[in-house]
Amino acid sequence: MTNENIILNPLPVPTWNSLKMNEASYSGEIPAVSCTPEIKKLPDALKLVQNATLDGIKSSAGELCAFLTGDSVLIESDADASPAVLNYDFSGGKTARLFLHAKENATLPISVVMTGEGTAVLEIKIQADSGSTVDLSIIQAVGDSCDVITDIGCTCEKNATFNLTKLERGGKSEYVAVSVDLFGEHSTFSANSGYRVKTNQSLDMNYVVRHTGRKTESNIFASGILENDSAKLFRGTIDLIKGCAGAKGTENEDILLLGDNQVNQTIPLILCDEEDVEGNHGASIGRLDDNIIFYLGSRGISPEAAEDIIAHAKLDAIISHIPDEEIKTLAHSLISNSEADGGEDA
Amino acid sequence: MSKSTLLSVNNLNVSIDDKHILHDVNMQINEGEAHVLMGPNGAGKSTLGYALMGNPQYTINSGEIIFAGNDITEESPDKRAKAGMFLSFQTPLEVPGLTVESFLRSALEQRTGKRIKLFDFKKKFSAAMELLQLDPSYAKRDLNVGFSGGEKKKTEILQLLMFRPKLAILDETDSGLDVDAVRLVSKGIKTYLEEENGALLVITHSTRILDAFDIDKTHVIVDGRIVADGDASVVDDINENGYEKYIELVGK
Repeated sequence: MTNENIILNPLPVPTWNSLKMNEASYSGEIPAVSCTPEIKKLPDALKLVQNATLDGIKSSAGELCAFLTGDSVLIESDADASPAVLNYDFSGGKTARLFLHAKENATLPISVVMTGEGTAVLEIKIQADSGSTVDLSIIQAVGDSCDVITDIGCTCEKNATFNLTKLERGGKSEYVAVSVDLFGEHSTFSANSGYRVKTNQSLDMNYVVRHTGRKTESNIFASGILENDSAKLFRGTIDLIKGCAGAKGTENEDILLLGDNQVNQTIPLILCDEEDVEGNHGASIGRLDDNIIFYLGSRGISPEAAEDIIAHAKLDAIISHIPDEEIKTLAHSLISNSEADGGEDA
Repeated sequence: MSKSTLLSVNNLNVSIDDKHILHDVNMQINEGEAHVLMGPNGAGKSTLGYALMGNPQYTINSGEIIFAGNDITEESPDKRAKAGMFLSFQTPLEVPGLTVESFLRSALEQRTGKRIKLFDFKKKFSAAMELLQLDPSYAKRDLNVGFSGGEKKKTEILQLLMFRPKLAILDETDSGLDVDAVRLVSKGIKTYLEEENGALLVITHSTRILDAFDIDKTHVIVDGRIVADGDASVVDDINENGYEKYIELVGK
């Protein structure tokens, strides 16, 4: 499906237009073909329903939702489940829709692996009922020259927890939208995002967390590497809505610049309509420390290899949050560009 | 049988930020020899260690460094390391996200230019960890992050045992260590000397670590100048009388 420009990742409260950060404009093609996942692992405690959906879950992806009408899969959990693994192959360009429902006091750990050469559009909507926990890991390993759009939305009821681990290997133009509503008291959201944006690639992120319930907590951590001539825009909105007394929202970024001519933009937005709340933002941006390059050099590691090792280390730290050991191993191999990594034979 | 020369430092002049630190330093270390570099605080001991390892913050104004028959004066640190040189840092750097095990394996592969069999690596790694009484959990910890001073120094010696260089420069490796830690670090150094027949340049201003091996030669540096060379008796002399007479040699 060919589009006029569609608006993605709008900032909930716009800033100056001249900054050109209020939203992203996507002129590529949204595929007309949808796909369903290959089920790599599905424990008995989880129930899979074809072509079912969940309603009432917001998106921060902008105009994308109008294009998402294809096949869908719903996975439900009403118990303490072991990890599920789904693989989406976007070869040739496809869209996919996944719905997750963790019922009261249930757990739903799931890993989603995105592969294939083609434009990939993935929508994931999550409903976390009272006392439930959803652990979602997404490994984006679609081809480097492909456009990738991921739209994640979640609602959390009382004492519910949503943990998101997201790993981006890079894409020509990549858009990530994450929208979370912490409705219930003591509900929590934690995001660990790791990315590597390579030469001539771009990554546009839009995280929006609305704290409605009392004593809710959110923690967004985005850590990545920007290589030569790459661009990244991170929008992080923590909306502390009236009535969310005792809520706490934190967003942090850690960015390593490798090479030159990167465009690194960040909009931390903390909206506050309640007195007894806490909103924090921090960012660490820089190049690899000369002292570390010398230290690793004194061990026989060239500056180029040192950069690669440190870049991998940053992503490894994100991978450590993935609960499934097999997926951890897979993630290591998918993000690895170096022949030397993971090898066991001389 | 005469030993062949491993390191020759000839008339080396080094500066940092336009400040001249080392003046016409000469030193020769033969294969398998243990040398000690002593001097008061601020004499230029660590500067010599950094300059030998190729720290780009230090500028070599003149002179040359010949290592294993090759002029490495202009070489980068990684090439010096690959040629067989090693520097144990006085303050090892923390590298968040990079585990000790992953770092050692990557470094070994970089040094040799080929992939290391996991079985061989694990065997060597476990033996070195055991010798230094390092808990196996260290393997999965980020390099030097949250390590105590003693743990950092032990990790430096762990690297010495894994890399087995031709020449190890140990910069104040015993400083800040308790008696037990000095004993373990000394054991590691002794193992390296015995198994590798490696050469040592120990930079120190204390003498606790020197009990671990026989000293072939002692150099005394004051104000960036080597003011005396001698055998192990120089260490005893400094222990007894301090640096006063050596400081007088440069007119201070």
